[in-house]
Amino acid sequence: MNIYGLNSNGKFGEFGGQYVAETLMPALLELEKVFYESIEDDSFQSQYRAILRDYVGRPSPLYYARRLSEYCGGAQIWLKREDLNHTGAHKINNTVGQALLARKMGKKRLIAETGAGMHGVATATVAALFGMTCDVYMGAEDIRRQAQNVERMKMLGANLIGVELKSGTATLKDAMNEALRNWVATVENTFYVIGTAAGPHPYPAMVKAFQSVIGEEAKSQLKAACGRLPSQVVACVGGGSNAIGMFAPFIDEPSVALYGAEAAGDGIDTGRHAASLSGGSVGVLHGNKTYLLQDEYGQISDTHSVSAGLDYPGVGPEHSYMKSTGRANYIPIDDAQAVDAFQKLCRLEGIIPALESSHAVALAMVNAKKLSKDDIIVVCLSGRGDKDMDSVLEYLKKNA
Amino acid sequence: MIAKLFEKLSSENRAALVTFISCGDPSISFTKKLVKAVCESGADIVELGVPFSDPMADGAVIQASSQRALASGTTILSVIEMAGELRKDGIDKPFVLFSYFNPIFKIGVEKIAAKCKENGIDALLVVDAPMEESREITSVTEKFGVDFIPLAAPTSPLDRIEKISQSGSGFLYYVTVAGVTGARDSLPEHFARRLADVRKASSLPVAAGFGISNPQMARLAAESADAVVVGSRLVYMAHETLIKDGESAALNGVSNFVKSLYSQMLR
Repeated sequence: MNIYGLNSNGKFGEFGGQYVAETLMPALLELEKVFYESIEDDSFQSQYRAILRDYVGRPSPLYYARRLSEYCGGAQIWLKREDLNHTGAHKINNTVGQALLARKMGKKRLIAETGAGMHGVATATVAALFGMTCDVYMGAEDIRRQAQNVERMKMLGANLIGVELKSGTATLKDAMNEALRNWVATVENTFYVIGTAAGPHPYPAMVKAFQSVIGEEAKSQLKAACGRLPSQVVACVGGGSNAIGMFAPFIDEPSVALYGAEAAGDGIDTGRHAASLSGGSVGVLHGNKTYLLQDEYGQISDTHSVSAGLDYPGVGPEHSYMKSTGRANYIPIDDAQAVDAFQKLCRLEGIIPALESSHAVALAMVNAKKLSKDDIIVVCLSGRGDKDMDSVLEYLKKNA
Repeated sequence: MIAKLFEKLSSENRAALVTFISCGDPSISFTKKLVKAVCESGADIVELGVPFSDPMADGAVIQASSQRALASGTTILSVIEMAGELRKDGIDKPFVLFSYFNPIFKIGVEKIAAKCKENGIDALLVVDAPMEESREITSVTEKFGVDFIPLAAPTSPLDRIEKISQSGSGFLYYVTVAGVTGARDSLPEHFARRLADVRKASSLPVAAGFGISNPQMARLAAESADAVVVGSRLVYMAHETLIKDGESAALNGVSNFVKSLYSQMLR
């Protein structure tokens, strides 16, 4: 029995694991030990909770989106406002936790991969807060489409390392490759802050532990407001960090349906998408066994999504596990649906959501119509959309 | 076959020369000629590198080479079949299939092990399958009599290296530097002392690899290790010479380089 959903091999069913170069194994084993000790340790927990409260601004509100709900007709849609966190997304919940572990382990340098840049900004932020140096790896395509976050990271004192490819467009996967290459060479003094719920064990369990504050708060906030559990919980899934954090306290509540919105890009049928659970097969990448977008020979495929944060060919291993057991449902949402939901939330609620989170809103809008007014859907609004203005305008111009 | 080779070399007081070939860069037909050339020039073991789209443990040279190999349509199956053709042509040096796990996993460990056996591949080396994960591979390779080459690193404690060596067979691949593959100018500090410790801890012969790029380094490495691996430097040389001066110059250049390495293997 353990609270992380892991079996004795450190896996979620057959998924997860530690498929990394031997050079990293001793560091992962040490990290596992420190993580398990810390998460059970009251003084670590109180430090972590204090930073979340005083610096991040938690708890984040749970907000009933009345006009959106009325527009959809059907279930009530409630939004867990992670976009209101310091730095503008859920990513900081995890970077605070991992930076505390880094400090405990005596590591002075943080590295991170980033797609949309929110995890990069959140890592740069805690590096500044704790007086650590920070290098962030980011694909060239993402640097182009998330320019605002690039400037934020630099302003916060991080060193941004652009990742270029000779062929293809460099995105989150390539940033993660390059961060891993650097980590192998610097593992003695460097802590790799992984932002997504993927990577080698213990990262998926650790990211879940630090992000589960989202679901815990939402659960008790809804209880206080309505006195009951939601019918459905909905979150977007790239690697799946906000989703696993949102799902965590509901996994053992069988009456609550769990829904993940995957990035279907131009549509699953076109092959231009990033929906690893809906359109992929099991494989091994970035240290874990999970669903991947790959060809028949095990070469990883190029992905596409209007949202940089979901543009990744893998997914966290616990999501693969929950797909295999049927506990959670993973539904593809394409670019058009996501951009439509983005606009609807702007106009109906005065909230500009991140394109990643817009996938979750879009799925909630689909699901709400099938339910009654007595049903409650809680959506993780994982981040704010200021960073996405250029991407949305570009998309609307192209598809006018 | 690999165990016997090390017994023989030990009686000759010579280190084994292991050469890494990036298969399919730029074509399987060129790779076949390259493998023949290195075998005729003194390589004792050939690592047949399978290209992967996301080579996380590799530096720039092998990354670029893997991309060229993938662009030419190379797959793990075409590499294994190439080994079978080389066997038919009389090449009898031990072959180690060198791969990331995903191409193996996707086809199926059982099927890959069977195909290795059928095509004369002696061992499997999986860059991203440490001791914690290798059992799903070794439980299959053992059945087929294919060796599994385990890896140890500068960060591995000696008691762990002992266990690692017991998790495989053939030889232990010791990664001499914490970092990715790629030519370096010198061996790391305290190399000889560390290698002595690693050999003492290991139940298998120890090959030293990563960064070894010239005969002087190879000589020093051969004094401390049972085998010396040269990779990126060879890949770079083959590619650069091929595009500048053509195929026969590339094969000649690589042959001469391998001969110069081979001459340093006698202790």
